[in-house]
Amino acid sequence: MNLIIIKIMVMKNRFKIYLELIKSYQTILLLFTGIAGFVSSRCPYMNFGIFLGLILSLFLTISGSTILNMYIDRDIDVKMMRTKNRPLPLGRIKANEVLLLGLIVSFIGLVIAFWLSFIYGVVVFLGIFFDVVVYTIWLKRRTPWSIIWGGISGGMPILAGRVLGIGRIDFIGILFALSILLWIPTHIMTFSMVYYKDYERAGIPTFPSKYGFKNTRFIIALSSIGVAISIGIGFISLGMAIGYLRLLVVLSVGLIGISISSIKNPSKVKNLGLFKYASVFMLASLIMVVLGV
Amino acid sequence: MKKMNFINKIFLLFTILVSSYFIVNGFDDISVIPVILYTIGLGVLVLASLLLLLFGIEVLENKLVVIVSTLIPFSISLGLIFQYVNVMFLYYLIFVVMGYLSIIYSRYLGSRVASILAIAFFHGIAGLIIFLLPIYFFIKTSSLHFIFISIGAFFIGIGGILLLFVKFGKSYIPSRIVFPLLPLILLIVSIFFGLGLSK
Repeated sequence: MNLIIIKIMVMKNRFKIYLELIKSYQTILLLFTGIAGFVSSRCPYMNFGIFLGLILSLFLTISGSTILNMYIDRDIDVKMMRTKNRPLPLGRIKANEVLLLGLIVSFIGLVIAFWLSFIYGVVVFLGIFFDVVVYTIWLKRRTPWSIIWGGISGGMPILAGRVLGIGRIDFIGILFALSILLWIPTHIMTFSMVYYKDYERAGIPTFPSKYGFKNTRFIIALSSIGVAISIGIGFISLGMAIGYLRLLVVLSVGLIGISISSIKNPSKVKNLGLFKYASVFMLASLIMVVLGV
Repeated sequence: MKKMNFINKIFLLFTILVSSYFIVNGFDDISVIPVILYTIGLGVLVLASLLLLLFGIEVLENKLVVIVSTLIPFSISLGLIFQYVNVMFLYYLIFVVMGYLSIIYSRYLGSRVASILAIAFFHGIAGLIIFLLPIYFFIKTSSLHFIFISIGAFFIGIGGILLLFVKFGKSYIPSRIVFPLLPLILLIVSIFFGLGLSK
């Protein structure tokens, strides 16, 4: 009896570590973008099986690529204050186990994705490829521009969701992927300013270290304005009800206002506020897509 | 950043949800101009609550707060005049534009006294319109939604006066009492304005 309890405790502890490896908040947000993309298609053959398949395949592939990134970046994570308490730097789990877990989880996710639809599987595969191979392995340690590829991979779930719904890549899907692509730099660049010393210590090239804080703030503000514009065009293209457009205009005014204010009178507080606002804006826009189409 | 307690965060969150709901679903049966004006009024409530949540209570110290918050009585009173006293709309529009420019000018370039006078006069009249005009129409028509608008106006008036005391340094009611009350006031205002304006 005691042995069973101990085994359950060990498994529970393992599961907790696995959960820490997938960055649950980020994974859920990206998963939600995929759901919003799917719902935006007003898919005529929508059924529970497809919807469950979408959720499962996206959850597994997003989690898998995050786990693989944790494995690849373990030498950086140990040098940074922000990440040094993750399971790998602390030695709570072996690197090989993380690699194996990442590969298995990604593989299962991809199998489900290709089983659902070939083109959907291709988009999901590209998401993992851009994130793990292009962004993390190839470019992250070489150039601050790597975040473009991080952004493209972040835009893949919403595109994939829409592709699964309509069976092809269309303008609205690309527009929504673009909005995520523009939103992600606000996330990464804000972090690279807040944790500037961390990134320096780890030797990761960032926009603040290469182009300075002022230019980085300017790019963040421009990206935020770009997010508002691309989502706005997306809403109009989708034929969303006028009420949702009204609310989107209200939220966009706030986003653009804080962006301009952060260029005119830059400060750390404003930057963090802009980052948070852009995240709320993105989430609110996706909720409106889900409710409004 | 001064910490805001949990219950006030919930009030602000509900203010955002309630105002957003009425912006999305509220006024589809009325003409375009009041819809735009009411959207501005409720939109300011959404943005004010969002900014308070994300930046904390310090956001109230910004010079823009008075200018932006003035949009609430101006836009809603303009919408009401357009809907119910249409013959006066153009004159009142001129009054609002003049008032808004005066408030902006006095806030940035004028003296402190000029700023207080501009707000008290223009903001005050707009506030009285959204409080008294619906009462008049309620007496005439017995339609309950007018009273909701007046209740919203009453509460936002109280909030505005309390804030004015704090902003201009009057110590009758200290900021530590006023600031925690604001989220609840915003929620009450959003509910009554939403119910009243959307019929």
